[in-house]
Amino acid sequence: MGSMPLEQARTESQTCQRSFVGEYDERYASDEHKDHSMTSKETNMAEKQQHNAFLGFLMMEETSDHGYMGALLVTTMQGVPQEFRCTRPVKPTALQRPLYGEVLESYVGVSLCGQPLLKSLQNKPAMVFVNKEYLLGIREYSTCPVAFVQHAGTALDVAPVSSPGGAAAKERFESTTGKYQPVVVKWHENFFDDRNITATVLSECYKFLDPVEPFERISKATDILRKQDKSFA
Amino acid sequence: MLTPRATLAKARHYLARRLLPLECPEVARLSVPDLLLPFVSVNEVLFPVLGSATIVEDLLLSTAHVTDVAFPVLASAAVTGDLSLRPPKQSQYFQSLDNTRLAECLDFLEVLELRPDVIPFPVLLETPKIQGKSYSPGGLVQTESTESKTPCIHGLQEEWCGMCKAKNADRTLGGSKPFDVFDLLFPVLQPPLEEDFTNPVALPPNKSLYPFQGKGIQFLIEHDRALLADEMGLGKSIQAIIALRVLFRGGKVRNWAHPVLAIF
Repeated sequence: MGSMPLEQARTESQTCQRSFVGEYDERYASDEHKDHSMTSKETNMAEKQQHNAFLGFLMMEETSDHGYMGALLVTTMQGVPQEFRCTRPVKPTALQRPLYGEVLESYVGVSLCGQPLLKSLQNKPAMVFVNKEYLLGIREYSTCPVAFVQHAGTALDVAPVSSPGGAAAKERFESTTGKYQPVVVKWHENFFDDRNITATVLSECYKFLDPVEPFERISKATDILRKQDKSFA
Repeated sequence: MLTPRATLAKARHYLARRLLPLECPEVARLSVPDLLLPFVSVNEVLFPVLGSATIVEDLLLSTAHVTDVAFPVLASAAVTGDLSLRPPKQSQYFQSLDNTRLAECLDFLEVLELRPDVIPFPVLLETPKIQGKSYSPGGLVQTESTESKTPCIHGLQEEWCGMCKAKNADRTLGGSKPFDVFDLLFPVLQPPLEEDFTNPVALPPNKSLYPFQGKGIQFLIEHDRALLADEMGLGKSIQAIIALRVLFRGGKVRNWAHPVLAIF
């Protein structure tokens, strides 16, 4: 029962991959009719696709000059990077900031950065972890579950899981191996079913991967990017 | 029709509001934007011709015969001098004023002041460009970035532009691909290696280290200079390779400024 949501997510992920990758789609669309002609390399690849679900890590970072930069890393369950996409910084002017008010960050994070980043992916993730709570709004535009994750030490009030329709639900998860710090996960209030998928994904990936650690990698990568390419500064 | 005294009061009131700073009630300093007053005419002296140059002498309306001042030479000047609005004493200044035109001018200025300046500025934030790379193996089609959809410097899409294509072809003629900064990021995006190497990322599937090999790796990591002198066939190479990986992932080896020398 626990593995059902993950299977669904994998199927969804593979469906998305096939629809987004043109040549790959064409090659595998007719697999049913020419199974015999498949090479061993293709067979291995197809098997790998079936057994490998991807994780997405979406991060919003504030640049030194009060701009916002979005970055998305797709990894395997073991944390091996598969894809990395990032946006150029969005720099609201002094006039735009007060005009957007409190919705500025969520608008930039969800509408300007998050959605285009998710659309641009070749490897569709089974689940997306985000580092800011306002990024949970992406769930309304995404087919895959989205969860806000942070180390348990940074979230002091861990309330029990609330019922659907209540406040945004959050729950504490601990690594089964005990190697990693416990995390607190929060979901979009209107997508309470994401909790089951998150639990399944975490039970699989938490043995090898700290779900907060990839955000540090992304942060290092964006630092390098800013130094190498002035258009990201 | 305004009387000269009323006209002067009106002009003084206007200038008091428009001109900055007021050094004294009678003298005001003009700045260039304040002089951009079209159609202002004081007895044939047209202010718009003052443009962006400099008047080095004071314009004293109290002492000068305005009709005699040769203002056309100021065609492209800015005013830094003082304008005194003291009532004339020596000359009958106001008698020579064209009151009708001045009144029209002041009425125009009043209307001009009532109409606020509209400064347009963009409110909507633009969607940023996205760049990135897929590192996934297996020959999936890779889109380097969505930026290729943007027009090139010649105003066309890059894949349609012959000049850009030729330029890219020249760049790759030497056999080396153009530098991609996202290749540089690939090592940084790798997951950290743990010391117990239980993560399948550390070793190939179904492969594990012997305990003495783990100790050897630990020894190599902890020392700046180390000699690994195991017997032949005990796995010195794999120990050295994994030690280098750990050092690299841990950020202890960043560039070639501090090279790692491994002798096998």
